[in-house]
Amino acid sequence: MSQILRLPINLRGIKLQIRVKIISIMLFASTQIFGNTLKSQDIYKVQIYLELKDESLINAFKKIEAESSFYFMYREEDVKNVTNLNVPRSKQSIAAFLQLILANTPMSFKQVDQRILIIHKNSQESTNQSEGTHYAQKPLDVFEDIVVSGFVTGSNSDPLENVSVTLKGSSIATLTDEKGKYKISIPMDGVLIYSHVGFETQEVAIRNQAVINVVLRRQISTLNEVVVTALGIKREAKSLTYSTQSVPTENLTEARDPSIMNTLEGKVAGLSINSDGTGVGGANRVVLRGDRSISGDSQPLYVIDGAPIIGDISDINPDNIASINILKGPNAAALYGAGAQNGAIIIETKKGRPGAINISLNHSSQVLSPINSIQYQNEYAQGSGGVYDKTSESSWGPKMTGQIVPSWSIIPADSQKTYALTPQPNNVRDAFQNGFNTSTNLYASMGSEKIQSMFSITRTDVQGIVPGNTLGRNNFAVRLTSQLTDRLTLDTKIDLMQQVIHDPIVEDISDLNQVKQIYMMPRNIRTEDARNYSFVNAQGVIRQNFWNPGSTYGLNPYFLRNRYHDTETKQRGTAMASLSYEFSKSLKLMVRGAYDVINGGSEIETSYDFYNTALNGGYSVSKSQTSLFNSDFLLSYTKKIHKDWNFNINAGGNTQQQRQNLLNGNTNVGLLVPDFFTLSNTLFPSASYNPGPNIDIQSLYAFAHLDWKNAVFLDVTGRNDWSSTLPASHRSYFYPSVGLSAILSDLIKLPELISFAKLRASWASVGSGGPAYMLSRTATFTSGGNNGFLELSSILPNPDLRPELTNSYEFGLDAGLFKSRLNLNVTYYKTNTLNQLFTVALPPGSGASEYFTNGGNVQNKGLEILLSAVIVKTRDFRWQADLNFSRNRNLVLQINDQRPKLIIGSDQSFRDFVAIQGQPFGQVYSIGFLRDANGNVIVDDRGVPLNTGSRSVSVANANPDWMGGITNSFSYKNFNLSFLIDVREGGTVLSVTKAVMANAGVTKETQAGREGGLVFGKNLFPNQRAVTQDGKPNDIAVDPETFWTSMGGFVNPVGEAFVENMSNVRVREVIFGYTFPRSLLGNLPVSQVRLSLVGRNLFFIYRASHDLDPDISIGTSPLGEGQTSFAPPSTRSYGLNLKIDFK
Amino acid sequence: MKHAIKIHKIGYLAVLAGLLTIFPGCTKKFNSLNTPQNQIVEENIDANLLGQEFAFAQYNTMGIYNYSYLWYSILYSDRFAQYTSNNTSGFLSDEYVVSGTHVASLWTNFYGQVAAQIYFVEQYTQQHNMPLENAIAKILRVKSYQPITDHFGPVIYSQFGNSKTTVNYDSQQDIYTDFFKTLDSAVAVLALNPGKNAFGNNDQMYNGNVDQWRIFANSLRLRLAMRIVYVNPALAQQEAEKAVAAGVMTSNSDNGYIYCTVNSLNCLSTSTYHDEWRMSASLYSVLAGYNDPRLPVYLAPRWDGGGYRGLRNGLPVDELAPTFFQTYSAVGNRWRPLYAGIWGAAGDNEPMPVITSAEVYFLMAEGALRGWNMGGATAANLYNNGITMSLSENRVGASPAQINTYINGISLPVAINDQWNSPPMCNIPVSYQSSAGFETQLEQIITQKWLALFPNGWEAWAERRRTGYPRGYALIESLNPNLTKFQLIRRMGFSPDEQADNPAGLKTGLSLLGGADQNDTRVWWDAKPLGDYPPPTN
Repeated sequence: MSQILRLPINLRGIKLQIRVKIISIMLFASTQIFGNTLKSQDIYKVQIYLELKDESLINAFKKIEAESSFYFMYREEDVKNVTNLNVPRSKQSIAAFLQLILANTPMSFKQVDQRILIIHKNSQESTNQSEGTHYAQKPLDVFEDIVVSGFVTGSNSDPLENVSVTLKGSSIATLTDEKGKYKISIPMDGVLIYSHVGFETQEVAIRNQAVINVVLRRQISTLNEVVVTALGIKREAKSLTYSTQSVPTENLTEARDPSIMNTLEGKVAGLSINSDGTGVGGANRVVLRGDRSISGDSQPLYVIDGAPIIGDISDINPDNIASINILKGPNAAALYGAGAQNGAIIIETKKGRPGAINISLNHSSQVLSPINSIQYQNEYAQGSGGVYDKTSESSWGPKMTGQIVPSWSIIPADSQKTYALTPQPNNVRDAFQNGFNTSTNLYASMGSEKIQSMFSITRTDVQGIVPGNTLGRNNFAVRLTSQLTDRLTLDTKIDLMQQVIHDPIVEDISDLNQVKQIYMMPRNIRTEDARNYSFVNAQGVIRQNFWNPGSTYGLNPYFLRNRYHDTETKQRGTAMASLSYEFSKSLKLMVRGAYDVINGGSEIETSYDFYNTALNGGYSVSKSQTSLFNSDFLLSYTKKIHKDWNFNINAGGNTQQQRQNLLNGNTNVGLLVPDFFTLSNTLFPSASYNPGPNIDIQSLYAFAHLDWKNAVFLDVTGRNDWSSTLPASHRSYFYPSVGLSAILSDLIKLPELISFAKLRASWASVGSGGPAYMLSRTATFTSGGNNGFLELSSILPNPDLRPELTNSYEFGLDAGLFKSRLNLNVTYYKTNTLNQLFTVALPPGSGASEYFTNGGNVQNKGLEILLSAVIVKTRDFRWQADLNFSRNRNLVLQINDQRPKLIIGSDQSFRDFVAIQGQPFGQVYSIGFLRDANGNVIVDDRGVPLNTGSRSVSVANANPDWMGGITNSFSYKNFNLSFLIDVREGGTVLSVTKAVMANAGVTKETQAGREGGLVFGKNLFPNQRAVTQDGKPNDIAVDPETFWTSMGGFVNPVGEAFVENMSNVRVREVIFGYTFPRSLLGNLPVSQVRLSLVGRNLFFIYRASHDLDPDISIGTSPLGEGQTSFAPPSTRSYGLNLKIDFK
Repeated sequence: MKHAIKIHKIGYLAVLAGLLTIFPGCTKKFNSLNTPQNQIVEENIDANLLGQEFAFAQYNTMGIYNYSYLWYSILYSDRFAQYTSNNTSGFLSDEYVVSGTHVASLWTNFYGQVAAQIYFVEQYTQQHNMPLENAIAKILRVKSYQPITDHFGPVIYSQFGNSKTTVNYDSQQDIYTDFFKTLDSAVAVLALNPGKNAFGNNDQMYNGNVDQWRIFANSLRLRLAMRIVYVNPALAQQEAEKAVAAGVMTSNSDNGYIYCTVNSLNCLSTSTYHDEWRMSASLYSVLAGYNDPRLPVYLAPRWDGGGYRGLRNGLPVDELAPTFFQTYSAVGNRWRPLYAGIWGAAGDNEPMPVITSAEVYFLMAEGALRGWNMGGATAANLYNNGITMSLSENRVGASPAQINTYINGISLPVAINDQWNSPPMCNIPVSYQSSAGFETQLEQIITQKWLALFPNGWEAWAERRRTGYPRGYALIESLNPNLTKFQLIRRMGFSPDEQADNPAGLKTGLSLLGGADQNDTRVWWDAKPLGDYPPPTN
């Protein structure tokens, strides 16, 4: 073992060496425990228990196979007549048993690797081998006694070239020639495997035949694959009655991203993914088929190895993932109950496999570079009215011509200095850096027939584009599958993750947002000056050096970077154990328990002199725990009732317990001793503990699957939930689904062009209990006064709440054309989410601010198309294109009779995010231009547009018109190249970034007209038509400072002036890989080496707005949609990936 | 085979056992699970917990938490009263632009937090036969609704708590009428229970002393009576005389202060932390001119070391210089944050004055000036008593000699050395001019009351609207289309949220207002003839 590993150890460096050694020790240890696994074992040494009572020789072989990892090869006629064997129960070597039971027969035995050959003496003239002779010195061809040949064709009798023909369980193999002919020499009897890309693999027992001709059936790539559906049930894709899409998992580890969901972007029709703006390791917002929940977040359910897990999966290790399957609509996911109304993402992790040890090492290194796209003006300095002002946070000052001005520095030694005023075009770029992302995974799997194990460990280090923002993560997983008896199977898994993120970026317009402070630097601030961010004053306190001391919005970005620190820790453990018992071939019972727990921690240290947030510094510690315990059982019964009819019926139950709590302690208004970060360093320590919300859901369900001639399929499901969040009267609720599909190509004769065609339709209803604590009015106890304060909640309970319901239907067509070189999937769906649980605003004068209610009807309908085509295919070259397209139309049909408009969220100064009857979900309302009856913008006597004063104008909606992606994959011999281009068309956001930056005169657009002014409607917003208050066309020139300070800023800016289009086309992912041929690997102890160059988010081919990357949103709630606010620059990453599989 | 059967049996049992272990399966725990552990359910609030609920409401009548206090006191009434002025480009309130968000917050916080708790306490004490607590809750209700109706005119009052999507407004006249009635019934109960206690030390003003609450209620009645003097002089006189006869505050030991704790800070202290405003030129001109002992208490020395100076109200954004925060005075140190910050001393977590004896004496002085029976004292005596009370309050602590000098002072307010060359704010001395005309005497009384009320901007702005005093400075600029820089803002517009949340109810408010929903529309009691108002200094 350790010898095998020596080569990669030397390549990978010292740190890894230690880890690998530890792993090899562990593997050895487990090898000892599991026994009987290594191929170097000898039948003369391996001892087993055996007992035979009047049994046949074949049975004896089977028993030995069951007790060991060896298997027998023999000619049936040689052995079938040997019966009535008796051996008392004893423990001996396999060879000793074989000598005993073959003693009175004309047969002998030999070991070749894991095989034991049974040789009839009559057919062994060519050799002089005697019984028991050691096999090792003899070449393998000594045992060749059979030559099999034949032709392999497709179903239309065309010969198939390059079909691989392999003897099962061995490395003996050959390929067919251009006529489909093959010839293979093999030792004794056995099974031949015929496999070819694009065709179904076939196995044929030789049974002493010399000629075997085989017809291979063409495989419809997306249809014959096995997909994991609800409750972990594996089914052939062709039998499904609803739409699912699985994602190739190789790219997840090859073109890696610290968050696994980012690697799915652009690949799945109907899936939209955003990242928050916190930098490395940020969370994702994932939505399938549009927002549908008024108060919830519309995100799908994640299920790993059959059990739902907590929230987002950005920290899951991609190295362990065997498959990802996306159940897009409620139809597919109905059986999962609440949460699945938003679809489900089903992940299966890898298991160990019987046979040889597999060890592989995967290393990835990437450079992350910022794409700074905001355009600045580089002509005018700090100040206002054209006059330099060293304390200004705006750039409305004079033209920079090298004039000598006073330094802005307040460091006593520097404050009297002067410097030449010159543009600093790079001061923003200087504040960012190139980051990196490295990840190394060691994966090992091994197993016997009885026990299989998998082990995986990954270390990830990321340094973001903002210095100090780093991530370190360790993932560790072990999985053990065991066949305890013939009928009882145990599957267990432990997956641990530990992560530390330093200095995540604070989002939005917070003064702690580094990105904001960097973007807002006046255009004359020299990087070297700004880097002198602090000094010690006469009182010995470290003070901030900033151009506008005491500002409530601004900070020196370098002071913020170095004097404010946030450490976010996270430990996650997922454990699963599942036991299944096979009563008979048709009846099975599975019982499973799974536990997912996340321990989160946050520690924030703020130094003195953060004027607005922590004048006296501060310290805050939070600890949280979130857990989900799931237990379920499933009883399955499968029966063939007639040669054409199959059915499968299942019944199961689940209990789910969600628990969480949050503990926080902080120093409240400040520290007594600066920069000493402990909770006792304050006059008023503050602490809080919030347990919950806690939710229990119990469920029973049943589903049936019926198929006729393997061509028509019917699915019926029903589930009943009992949710702790609902009143006793409505606690229990039932919801069904039904689906039907027919494979037309198997039922009727279709034109030659169409090789496969399937129609499917399904209808589903999914219920959800909604959030906890809506049934009673509570009062919060807080500190205050002499004995504390008690405050009644302003939300009125509703003791009559009912469950939420999502009804949906979908229709689809799957077709294979041109001999399945072209595959098409089309799905149309419509979902309506009704009885939503949300709060409706009451006038505060009613005694409460809102009440819980059921209502609303949010509709999503749309179309998804997947197209996959093999465009060119020759012996060495292959070009495949995979295209996906989706469009979703979202409409709020109803909110509440008394409240047709519901403000879901609002910012203090900028916008309302609303659901309003008759409009799409997530309309953004803001202050707009005041217009006359003809739609002309009215300007005041300064030439500045008048505005509506309140947020009465609908200005933006982030819903795209359509989204799509196309992956082109090329392979030539051992090279392959793939690139993914994705498209987002339509959708608009309000840009807080622009409103605030334009107000400060730093952006490019504020440069024009500084001398002479601009006319609104002509050379300023030329797309608008503007009139003066007396109705005449506007020709008043306004100076840009007056204009942009009236339009922009933090407080109530005119949102309509800052709407950005989100359309873009980008190169999302590029992989160029090379697999080293075996001839190059020579004697190295490796079976495969693959090196690839990868790039992610390389560049935009088209972008409607140069100032934003629509993929980055604020946070992960729906409220982040429709707005962009000081998000960090997009990150381009490129690097390499090396994967080594060891022998 | 036997062996095999045994294994099967074990497997079967294992699965069954697993099944039983992981399915505790019942819904019995659901009710307790669905109740937040760290909160109290409404049904479980009893007489013991009622005190904490009363305490929450009482504290929050002073301005709910830091931001809300900023939003409706510092940014608005304190500006309109010309206690403070703006030096931050982020806010336009000093130029008479009222942010809808801020108004909505004031409205929502009052009704959502204060009114809702008082309502609960009042209902509970009614149902559970707790007459003393019920009477005190009623007084707190009057006290807390008064600034709300004074801000807007018609507001939600009698319909509060109907749990409906429409809540109608009441006219200010009806509300004031009910205020007097409510005080009648509360005082009647308290008068029958001398020496008793209610709410104990959950009462942050009088530790539950019922007798002091009775005096407080009478003093509140006097304030309310004077407020309506221009619209209903007869009722005003009747209620004022009734109040004085029943016993009002006579010394600083009667003062109604809400005492602050480390967990319920002085509302002004929590906002000074931001340093977004400076002291007004009006306050500075008068205090400096009178050599007022309150000057170093109310104002902090300039950060740049240049002594004291106040800033004019209504500065256009482009005239604001970032240096203003160093060259004009901030509020006095006792209202600074409780931490010794980078810029100086720690604050004192001052008690927050609700009604003080100084205010009561000035109210009586005005009554006497109007010829009412205020216990037989003259306006001049009562005026001097008011000043004495204010100067001898703990926060000032002037000596009797200092007070005597001050009372007889004839110096006048000073001009201000600023970029506008601001003249003195007014030309009256401290010394009471008994022989001067009615308006001059009224100006003296109200100007001194304005000084004594500090930092109670709600009351000072209301009195400025009612009487025109202190005359104040004109704004540098008004951005409100309905108000010139020489005019005083007369009310706040209704909350924009009401348009969305309570449109039908808002309509009743608009019709009761009797004018446009604008900042220049006068509320019911704001009835002094416009011609009688002095023009502001410019």
